[in-house]
Amino acid sequence: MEYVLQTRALGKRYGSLCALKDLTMHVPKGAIYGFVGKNGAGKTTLIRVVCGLQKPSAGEYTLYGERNSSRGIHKARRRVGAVVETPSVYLDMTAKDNLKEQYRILGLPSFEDIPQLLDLVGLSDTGKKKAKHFSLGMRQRLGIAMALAGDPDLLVLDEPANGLDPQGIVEIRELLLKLNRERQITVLISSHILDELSRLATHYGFIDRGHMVREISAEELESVCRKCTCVEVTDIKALARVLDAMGMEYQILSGQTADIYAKVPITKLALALWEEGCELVSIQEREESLESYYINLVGGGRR
Amino acid sequence: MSRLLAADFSRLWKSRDFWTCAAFMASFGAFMVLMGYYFMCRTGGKYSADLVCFGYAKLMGIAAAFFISLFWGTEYSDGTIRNKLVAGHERYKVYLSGLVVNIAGVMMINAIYVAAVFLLGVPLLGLPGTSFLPFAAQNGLLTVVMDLSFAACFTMHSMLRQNKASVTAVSIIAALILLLASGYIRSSLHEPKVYEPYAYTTDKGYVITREEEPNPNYLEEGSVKRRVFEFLDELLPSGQALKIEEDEVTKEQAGRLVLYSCLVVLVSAGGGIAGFQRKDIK
Repeated sequence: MEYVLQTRALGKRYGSLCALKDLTMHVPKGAIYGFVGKNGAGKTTLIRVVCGLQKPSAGEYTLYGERNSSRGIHKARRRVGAVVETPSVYLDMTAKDNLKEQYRILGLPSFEDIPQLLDLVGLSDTGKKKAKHFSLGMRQRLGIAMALAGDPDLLVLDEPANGLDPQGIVEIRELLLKLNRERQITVLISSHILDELSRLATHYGFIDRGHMVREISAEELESVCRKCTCVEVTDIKALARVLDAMGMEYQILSGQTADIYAKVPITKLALALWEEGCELVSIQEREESLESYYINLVGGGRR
Repeated sequence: MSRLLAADFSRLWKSRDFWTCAAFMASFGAFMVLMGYYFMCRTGGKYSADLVCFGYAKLMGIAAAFFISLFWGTEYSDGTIRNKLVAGHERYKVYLSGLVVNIAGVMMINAIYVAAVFLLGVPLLGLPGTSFLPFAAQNGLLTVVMDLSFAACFTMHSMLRQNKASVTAVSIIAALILLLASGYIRSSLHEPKVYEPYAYTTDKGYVITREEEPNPNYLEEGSVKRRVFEFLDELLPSGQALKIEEDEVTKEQAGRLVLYSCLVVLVSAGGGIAGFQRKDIK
């Protein structure tokens, strides 16, 4: 698999505070990588380090194959657009002037694309209104437009749903999906809104206290989280025979319990097991969401 | 770096902080001319625009502190400095581009003062005399290097601190302290060696005479304190400003002032770049 961003044992300290510790992550090309963690887990610190705003205290990262210590890292960064924490926009300028400024920074020869970019983020009708008079959601969109200037290959967004109304969240989600599908832009996105993230992400990284707890693809997560019926029986081999005969997908968990990934006709199952000389001890439906998966992974309580 | 310069100059042109500073200096120039005109009308004496042409020098430190701290503070307060770093620009280039634009801004503010003085001064006070040109050439050059020093110092401060309000307050206070310190240094250097003898008559008609007395505040020629004060007087941009305004720079001194200004620029820009390279940007 080709990775656009990889970190290896990355660490970042602020004095005695350890913000990142031994963090290893892999962002595959073309993915929407959801970066999940509590407040203070180190999400923004990692994004700052990757964007070159801060230097790591330990470890290293590679961006498009360029190590952070190599001279080529600056060239690799030109393929990145980012919104780190708050949108980086000049409050005393209009949306159009802000984009012109960003185009100059990037060295783009023409401002022709600016109307399309403003249209893409829904700010085409802001006219001469200065960014300081924008709502938080509008600033967030302008920040995304600035990040999209110059057609980046990797878009890094830190909590992009902050300050957006429900309609705005849906629009940003659709925009990101469109950019990912149509322009093959890889997206690294940190968010607290797990339900929202679960509608977008193709890969997840769970971070806790500066350390990557687990990286998992959306497919793997789905299989872990899928709805299932957990049954407890006296003879697990009899259960396997019955489920095979009924053509059901299942996973044996122990000598007495198994998860069945299908709607279970309870009476039919109980009768079939009885005929095999096996007793059905208990049965319960179980469904795990991204949220419960995350809570189980990092622990629910605040530490 | 040309991309950064294009972006920074474009922002300078639209900067309200820059135009506020420029408008203030233009108003100050007009005020100085009007004061000269008032003096000329009242006393019938001769006055010309060149007498107030370098009147900006004393205020340039404060103007530079105000302009640079607000102009660059915006990069941190609005977070836009991140755009430059995320776009792959190397830190030293971001710093140098900022320094160049700050120097240009300070010089333009200077030029706007001079323009206001001549635009209003020539019609009201008449053309400067023929001796003005060599005097203007030397002080013009010294002004450029003084601007460089002020811009380099305040750029370093603005680049290394991320809080716009505190940077602005500290920069302006620092400019005032520099000005006061240079004023104190200059008055110390100008202390007479002795108090002249004098006599006066009291209300009751007694004539009291005072003999010549040594001045305890006089800094002895060749003493360490005097040499340190002379060095600081020439090194500090605020000291240079006072010299330019009072037009008391000899040709021999002018060379040293240029050299000291270059030293200040190199040390502050070098230190600023080194600090900015290591800085954690939020």
